[in-house]
Amino acid sequence: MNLDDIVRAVPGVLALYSAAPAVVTSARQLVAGAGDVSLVSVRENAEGAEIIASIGVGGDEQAPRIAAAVSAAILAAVPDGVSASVHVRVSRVLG
Amino acid sequence: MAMTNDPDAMGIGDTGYTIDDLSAYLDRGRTPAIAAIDTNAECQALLASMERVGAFGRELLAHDVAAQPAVDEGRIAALLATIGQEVRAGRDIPLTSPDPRATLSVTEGAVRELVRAAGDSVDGVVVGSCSLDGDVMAVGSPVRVALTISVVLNGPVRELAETVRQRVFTAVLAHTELSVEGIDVTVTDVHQPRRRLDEGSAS
Repeated sequence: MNLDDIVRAVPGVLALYSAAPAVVTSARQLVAGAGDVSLVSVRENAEGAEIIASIGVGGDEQAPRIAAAVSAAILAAVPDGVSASVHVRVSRVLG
Repeated sequence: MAMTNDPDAMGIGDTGYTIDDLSAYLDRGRTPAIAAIDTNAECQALLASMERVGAFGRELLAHDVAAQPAVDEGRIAALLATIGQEVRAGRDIPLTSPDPRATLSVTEGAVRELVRAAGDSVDGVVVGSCSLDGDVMAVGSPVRVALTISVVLNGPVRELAETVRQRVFTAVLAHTELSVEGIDVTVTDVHQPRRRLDEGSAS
């Protein structure tokens, strides 16, 4: 299961948006096809992996709680021994 | 193509798509699908607002409203331009994280859209503009929410404004950790149903 699927599977997450700048996403979509581009961003830096997810949550939920659940789901998917930090950004609250 | 850092030239959400492009996309039922728009939060927020503004326009027609002042294309375009500015992601407003490895935030644009949607959800109301006043980045710092609304006069203006205020407060409380010290609702336009105008002139 990839990170996009893991995020989408969290109850209360209604949408997943591109975490990378639009121009980067568009370029990747041109090369790989729209359906094959991961919307969760993963970058390697000196301290390990930096993972960023941009989500839309349901209006009848509580955004802070859903964001925490998403971060927990992502961190649970990180293999043992891999250092990672996660940024979950709530980009929309949907009706 | 010349590269630019002009935010307007870079389009909504830096996708290169303009308000007119998104309006056309909406008009044709979002087909064929454009991935750059469909995966961009700011574009999706603007499309959602466009749909609500469209619904308000249809409500005006359904109520046979004599618009005071007239709702013309220029006013709609100005409203959409305002929304286009407000949906920009802006700053990351912090949320408390239970895990030191995780940073959680809600974007300024998401909060503004939340406020706008809460106001628009009141029957006969469309939000003109909204803003967050205060240091939203400092946890616990007092913040005021200010919004302007246009209303179809279905009831007392004060009650409509109070309903808007309550819904905005409930939404902001549920989805942010902002310390909201006040919500200021200003009614800028009142659209009176023509039936009432006729009754008024007949008496």
